[in-house]
Amino acid sequence: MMHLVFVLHWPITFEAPMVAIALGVVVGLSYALLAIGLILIYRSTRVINLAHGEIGAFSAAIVAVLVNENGWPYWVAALAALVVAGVAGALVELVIIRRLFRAPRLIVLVATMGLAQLFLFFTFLLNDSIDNRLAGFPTPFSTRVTLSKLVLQPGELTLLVAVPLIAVGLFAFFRFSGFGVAVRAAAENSDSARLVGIPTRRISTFVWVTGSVLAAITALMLAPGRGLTVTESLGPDLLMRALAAAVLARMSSLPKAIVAGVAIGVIEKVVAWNYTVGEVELVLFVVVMGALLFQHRASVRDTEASAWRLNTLVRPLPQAVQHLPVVRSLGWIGVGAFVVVAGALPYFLSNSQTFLMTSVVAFAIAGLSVTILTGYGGQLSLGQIAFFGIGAAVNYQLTVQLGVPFWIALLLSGLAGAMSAMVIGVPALRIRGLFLAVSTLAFALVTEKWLLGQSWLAGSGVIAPRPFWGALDFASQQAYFYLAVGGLLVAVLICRNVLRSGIGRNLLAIRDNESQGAAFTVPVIRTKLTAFAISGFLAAFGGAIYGHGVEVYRVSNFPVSDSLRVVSMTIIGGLGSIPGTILGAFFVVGVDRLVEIEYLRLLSTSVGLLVLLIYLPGGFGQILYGARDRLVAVIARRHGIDLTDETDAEELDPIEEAVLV
Amino acid sequence: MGPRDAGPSLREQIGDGSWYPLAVITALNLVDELDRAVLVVFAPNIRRYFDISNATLGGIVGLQVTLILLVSVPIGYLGTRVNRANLLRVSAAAWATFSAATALAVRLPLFVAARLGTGIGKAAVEPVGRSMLSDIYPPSTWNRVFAIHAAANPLGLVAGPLLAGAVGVVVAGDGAWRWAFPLLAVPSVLVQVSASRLKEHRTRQVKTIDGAELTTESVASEMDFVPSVTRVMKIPTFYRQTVAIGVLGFALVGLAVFSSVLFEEEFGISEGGRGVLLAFIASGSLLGYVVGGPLGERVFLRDPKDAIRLIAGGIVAFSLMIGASVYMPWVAATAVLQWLALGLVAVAVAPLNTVLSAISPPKLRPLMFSLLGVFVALFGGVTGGVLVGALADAYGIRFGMASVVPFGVVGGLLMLRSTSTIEADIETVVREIRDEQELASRRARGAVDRALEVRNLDFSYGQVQVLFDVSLDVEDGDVVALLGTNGAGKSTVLRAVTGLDFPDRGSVRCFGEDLTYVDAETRVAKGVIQVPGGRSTFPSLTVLENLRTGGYRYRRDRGRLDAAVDEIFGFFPILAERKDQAAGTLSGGEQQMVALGRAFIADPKLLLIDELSLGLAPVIVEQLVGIVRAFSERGTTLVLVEQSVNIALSVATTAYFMERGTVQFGGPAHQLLERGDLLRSVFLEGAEQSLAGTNR
Repeated sequence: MMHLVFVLHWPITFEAPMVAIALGVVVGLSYALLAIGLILIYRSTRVINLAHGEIGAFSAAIVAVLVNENGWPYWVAALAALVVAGVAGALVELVIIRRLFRAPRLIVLVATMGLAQLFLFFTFLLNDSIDNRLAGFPTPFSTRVTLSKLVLQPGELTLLVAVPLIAVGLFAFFRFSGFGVAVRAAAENSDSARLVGIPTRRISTFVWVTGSVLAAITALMLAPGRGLTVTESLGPDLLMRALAAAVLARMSSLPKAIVAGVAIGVIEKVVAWNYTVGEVELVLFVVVMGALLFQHRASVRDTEASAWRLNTLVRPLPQAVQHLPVVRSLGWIGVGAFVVVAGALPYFLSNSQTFLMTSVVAFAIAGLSVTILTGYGGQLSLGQIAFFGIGAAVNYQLTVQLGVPFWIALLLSGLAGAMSAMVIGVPALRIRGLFLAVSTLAFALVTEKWLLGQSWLAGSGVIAPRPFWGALDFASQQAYFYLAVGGLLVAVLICRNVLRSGIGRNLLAIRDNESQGAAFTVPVIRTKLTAFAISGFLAAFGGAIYGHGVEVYRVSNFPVSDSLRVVSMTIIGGLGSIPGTILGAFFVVGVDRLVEIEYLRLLSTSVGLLVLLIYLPGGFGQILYGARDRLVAVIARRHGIDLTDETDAEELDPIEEAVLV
Repeated sequence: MGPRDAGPSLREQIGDGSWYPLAVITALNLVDELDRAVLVVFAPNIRRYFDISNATLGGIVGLQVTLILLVSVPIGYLGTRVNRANLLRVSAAAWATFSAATALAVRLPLFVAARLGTGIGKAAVEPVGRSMLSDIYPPSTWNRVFAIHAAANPLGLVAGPLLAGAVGVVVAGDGAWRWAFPLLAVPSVLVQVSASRLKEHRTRQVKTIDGAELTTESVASEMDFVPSVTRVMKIPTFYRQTVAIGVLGFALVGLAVFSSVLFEEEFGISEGGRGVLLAFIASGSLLGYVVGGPLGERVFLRDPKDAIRLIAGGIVAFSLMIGASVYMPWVAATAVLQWLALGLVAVAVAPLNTVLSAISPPKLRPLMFSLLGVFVALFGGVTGGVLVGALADAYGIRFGMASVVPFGVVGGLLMLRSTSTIEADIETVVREIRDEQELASRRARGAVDRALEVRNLDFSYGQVQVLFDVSLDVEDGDVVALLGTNGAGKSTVLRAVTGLDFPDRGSVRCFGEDLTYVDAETRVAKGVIQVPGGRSTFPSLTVLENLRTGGYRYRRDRGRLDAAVDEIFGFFPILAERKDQAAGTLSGGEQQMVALGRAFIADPKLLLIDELSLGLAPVIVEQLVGIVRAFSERGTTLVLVEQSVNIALSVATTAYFMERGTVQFGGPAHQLLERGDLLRSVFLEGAEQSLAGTNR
């Protein structure tokens, strides 16, 4: 067998053996197939389907149960699973996606997170038998091909054959069939498509069915090599690789997706041959960032960025009542009410519940960082958990290793977060919308897999004791909860002041119309970087508080999936609403503990999330602002002010939307 | 008949022959309630059997309700299209099967599945049944009919626990519930059999504001799903009542489950005793319906607003009494207070159905009632079930149940807000019926159907209303210009005509067919085509692909499609040269050619063109106008939306002029040119104002 070896003598020996390359090609094809599924859904729904892997895993679990427990022939079981996947895809589209037809894409993205959890729940239900797990995942045949040291399993052999076939088939379908062209047309301009009679809704259903069947096929081919437990979720690292391939194919070209997927697979396996897992993530991160940065700029369409933008629902107060003392103090009344509730809370809760509330508060601070960056700045980041983790690790290093006082360390950790956010913010000057989301997700992944694991950060786990300051001891759950609440108040103050200042005005201006903002001398680069810095500061600040709250933690406390949870809490709260974000954090981090059975918890949170998104697209903020407006209307009536003429004023004063409840 | 006079008795109005539908639909409601009541009584035993907490049990109830949420609206929509009698029979059979299957559940997932199945049946039986009642029976009897129908619920709640108690006595122990469900199959089979003679009723009854009654033959008009739901949700009175309806939902769905737990946990009462207590409490609402039926009828006749006040009062009183009842030290006091609470809330139920029947367009009533079910389930079932369950787990069942008080008070207050809209909503329904009658009489006279008839269109984007009572007529074969400045609402009119958006009120008819509730895709098939404003091509598709999408409907007819495309290439040779180029790379004028060509290939009978000339060079505009004329000569009816008066009036014979969402002028085009006051006021006023501003 030919054994190709490149040897680079600088900086260290680097080999690229044929075995690693061949393995890379096979693995890369699976990334490509996942990427094709993601691209399909993206083309039609303009959203990354975060449930893609879970739909696949769910179908794979069906095959395992049917074959291992019920003795069905493989092909019959596989066919049944594909049908189930198709039906599931159709249901998802009909019940969830279609209702969010006009919603901002960010909301749909969070909805796919809820779907991911829902399918995870079904997979858990199916996979509960031990016999099934022991039997291993069934395969259609048992042929194995041996290439030198590399043994290709049946699943991998099917990948080699199936992926090119599927890609060619889909390509021909979209190019040559009338229906395929209609699918592309509907993806480009939905209104125009409907006006020539293209049934865009039915097409959307069709695409989701196809995407889900593809996900199922992928999972069936991946599962034998990965074992049943891995099939329970796509996992952020696999998702990241597929996403990278999809993004490199500019979310449109299927052939490019295959090339990109294979390239990523080869790079991964060759690097893994030489280094550790962490370095693989680092190299992949650099590759993705490089590719995104050097892609031709025109490929990032502006419409894309605007579809991802979610206008804050925050409405200004009518001008006629703004001067009233009662109205002016509404914000402070809100803060006061919050302080009273937070102050009383530990007296009603057990220690472990108080600890949970501390986590809620820390995550709420991270949520506020999204409020600034995404809500006011219009930049979608899926990497906030990275700054959160960096803040925790830096704070540990400063307080425990260097003996810096806690309060100063807290500030410095925040600054460390701000600096790393600025570094990651530089590419954001070129990358927008979905692509920015992907690059920040990549950053979160590399932070979890590599950066935080360095001995000068969290290493293999640390113990971060809680601070005391003279007689003030924060060791108890209750005392530390108060400290966290204090931190949250600081964060709220920062948010509010950012918005009322020039930075806030500039941010909103750039978010709403970048070129016009620039024409009115808004410093675009500086403003964007400032937004990243403040956001990074807040996330790291929250992370530092979180780290000393849990006291003992390791890298796995900051999984990439939590980044998605942080974004979802701001969406649930109502993007841009500070009190909404806090409620959202409570909902995402706290409420699911009410249900004591693990799998029912998954069910209740996922269904709860979906129902909330569909029936309350403005999140809790929608309720809060509705209540505020009612209240203000009552106050105005009492002062004899007629608010009916004020409707036009709403659009005149976007800056005042900063004044929150 | 004086307004205070209760009028003839129900027996006189209904007559002898037509009790049958009411009896059958009520019986269906009864067996469904029996099933639920049995579940409620055995809730603690089932909880023990599967070893689950209050919150989890609440979650299962919530899950069932979630499923109802998902399927009931589609089923309600189905009720507007298919034979409702058949729909009712099929769904009732499915329901009965799942109900009996509950007994066979050995594991929790199976139990959940059986309960979900019964949920689907219920989702169909209720809205479809109620909408049939409102069609079959005259409006002056609605309230009493709905009261009788609703009385099946407390009847079931009385009979169910008695049945359960009896089973509990015969089969001792925790497994008793397994015997109760198969027993239920007996009455449900009987009802199935008796429902076989039920027939669909095509005549729809409508109530006017002054108590008069209109009858309409349901015109077989097409209605698509999304527009129908949008329409119902946009009825202001209904929109405002949704939260209050949710609280009512808690009373009807969640209360009994938690009362049962309350009696077991706080008072230590066994299932036999619980059955008796729950039956007693349910009898309160029976009395409520007996009183509430005729009372609501009188109140509604006097003033529909008073009916809403009655509903609001019932909801508030209910929640306060429930709150008080759970803290009573004696079980008797608790039971009596809950008996009263249910009696009071029952008085509110029938008027709510009457109000909803009155404000809903008759053909959309099944959908309206299914949405009612959704809100009952959404707030009452999911939120109420989970919230009360969670609070009960954390702070005890008493606190959990008392948490309904604030919701009830708020819900009642919100209900009162709908007093200001109900009269307008009833009038809207009546006006639509009168429009339909007018169309019928026009046809009877033998007049040709107009190409487009827009009637009394109101339209809003969210809270902002942009169209006010817009009416337009376009005769077949005419060329009509729709003029006005930016933001006058012209494009919105087009969106409503082509079905991209749906109006709050009013109707759109094309060639005599009511298309108000029809999707854009369906309208295209009827020859209603729009050339959208702005750059409306598919930028990454080639020119050829763009054009071919115009023939999507007949894409399998290759010959016809190729001929149509070739014809366009004949009009615009430049497009033939660029046929393999991506449309996004063409100039603005060429893209407009593609858009026009695509519309032409779609074979329009009525073509609406939005801003043909915007941003294009005069030479290009000239060329495009030539094509538009060619369309017209082939007999296509044209509506041109323009800001440019000159271009529009060079082609059009009739003109409409819009300003701030209203039609200011409609008539022959040359008359508009004489109306300098209108044209100047809009096209020059801005200039005058800014001039005045600089001088100030």
